[in-house]
Amino acid sequence: MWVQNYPIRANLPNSGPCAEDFYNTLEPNGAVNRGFKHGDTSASSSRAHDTDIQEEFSRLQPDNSIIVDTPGQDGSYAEKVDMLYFCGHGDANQLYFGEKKGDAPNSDDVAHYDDIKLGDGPLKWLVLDACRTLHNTLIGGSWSIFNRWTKAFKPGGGLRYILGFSTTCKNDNFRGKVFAQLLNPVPGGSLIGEPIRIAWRYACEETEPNASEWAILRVGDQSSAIANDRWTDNSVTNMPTIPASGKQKFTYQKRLGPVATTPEVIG
Amino acid sequence: MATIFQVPKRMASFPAAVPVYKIADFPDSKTGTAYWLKRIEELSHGLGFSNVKPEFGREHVYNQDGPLLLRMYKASNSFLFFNRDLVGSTVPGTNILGPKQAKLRAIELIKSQQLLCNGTGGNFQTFYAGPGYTVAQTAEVGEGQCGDWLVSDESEPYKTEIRAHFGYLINGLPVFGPGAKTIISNVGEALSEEIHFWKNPGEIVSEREIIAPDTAISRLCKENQFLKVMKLHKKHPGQSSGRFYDDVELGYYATPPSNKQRFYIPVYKIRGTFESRIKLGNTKPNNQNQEDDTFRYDFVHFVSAMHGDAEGFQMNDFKRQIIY
Repeated sequence: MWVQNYPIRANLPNSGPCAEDFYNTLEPNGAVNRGFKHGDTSASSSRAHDTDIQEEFSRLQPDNSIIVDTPGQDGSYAEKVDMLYFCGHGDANQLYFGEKKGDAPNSDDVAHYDDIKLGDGPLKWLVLDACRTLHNTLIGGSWSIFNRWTKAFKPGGGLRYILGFSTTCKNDNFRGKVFAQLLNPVPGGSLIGEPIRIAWRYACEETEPNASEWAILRVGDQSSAIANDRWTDNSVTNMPTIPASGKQKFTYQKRLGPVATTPEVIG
Repeated sequence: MATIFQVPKRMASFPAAVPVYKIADFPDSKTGTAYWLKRIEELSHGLGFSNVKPEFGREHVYNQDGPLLLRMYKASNSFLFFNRDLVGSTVPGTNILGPKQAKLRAIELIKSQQLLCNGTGGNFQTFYAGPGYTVAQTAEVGEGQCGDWLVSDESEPYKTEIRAHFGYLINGLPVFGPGAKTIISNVGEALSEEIHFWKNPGEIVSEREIIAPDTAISRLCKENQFLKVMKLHKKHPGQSSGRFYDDVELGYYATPPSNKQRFYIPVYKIRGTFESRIKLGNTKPNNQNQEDDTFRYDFVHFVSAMHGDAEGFQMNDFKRQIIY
């Protein structure tokens, strides 16, 4: 899923190639098919498609607020796949879409972390290839990462990971492909596909300069088995990972890049 | 252009001309099987593998031994090593090395692998680190109540591993891009990863006259995404602004290790920011603070610094990474 033509923001020309290559490179893992791909240049009517993209994430509620899902309903499109790769604009609080959704007076062209609640369907891994979504900062006092994007993990749901960036990132045309290559098994060889956290780490290292910081937010504490999730592991089921009530732990990690200083030549 | 983007008034001065380097040759994947086998064997032994059983994929050559993986990039002669049991673990690390010690150890490893070699055409490649280049990595665990997710503020980051980062200079100029870095990480005493993304520069193929930085900025502003932003600014006056930072840098660019790159050409690294409060319809206000309502886009672009056209030096893989 990608947005590259933004009516009121800077365009991101590499979003399409990045997300398309992710889709085309990732191999189905057993019974799971690759789901859908939507982008703003894949159809004759880009306006219609931009609206579709936001529809994947959001449902317009009776009060015209945007929410991804409502209790008792089937998952949105976004939740009908195992892994969702979004490539577009983002910041610490929201994702940006190309078009306002519908004509409702209060609809907008963003999906704020408060609006996103995922986990009803098979969706387990959400990739936000967008700037700063997983920035860990104290926004508005106590708005640490745990109090922002953990809201996307719906209680009683099966979402396990959000992968993204703590800093700005390049609008890169290779990252989706590299990520999928690392997740895939190597044909005829002994490699069965890397754990998701390792695949994201190295997809970012391969495509970003030294200063960028990738980040990962996942369900479970430091020793949870979720840390070793693999795309190719069919024992990872659609069962909920988060209880409907009670307490839940999350783990956050990010790359800490070097501090720019005067070079010290070695050799 | 000046109606929206502020252009720096003073920028550093740059040399009138700089060399273009050919990337040094190494055997390709079809003719160089023996080379790749020897290289993977040498590296594997130094990285603690007890078995060497190379596997050839389309773009990579691998060696796997339990949790250890060595992945070599046929397009660039770069490599990536990691220990799956250690790298990126969120378990608190014990005996994490201090930055000085981690850096010294990393340099020792690099030297033993003979990665500190100079370019084949002369003494022009250097390898650098800085005082802040060796950084402990952290993880953090938070616990919240389902539904409101208000997680306790008591969560504290803890150290998991330490990473020594290195960069590259060619003939004194920095090399930008993802394909110019070496990173070595340790968990306690054990090596958890080594990233070596680098293409050795070879002979100088030409000396190219350099354009002024403001000419490069003008070139950047002709890109569609900037033209579009300027149109928006005209349509919604006073609701957007932008600026280019004055720290424009001259250097070379290294593409990702999976790309076949033929030349190091001079580029300007241009950073800037764009802010907009333009809204579609009656956008609902966000509930945290006013900053939420401002769209901010920080960008970094690399623009060819060569005077004249870049004919002969352009490559398909480059096209989306460098603006010519």
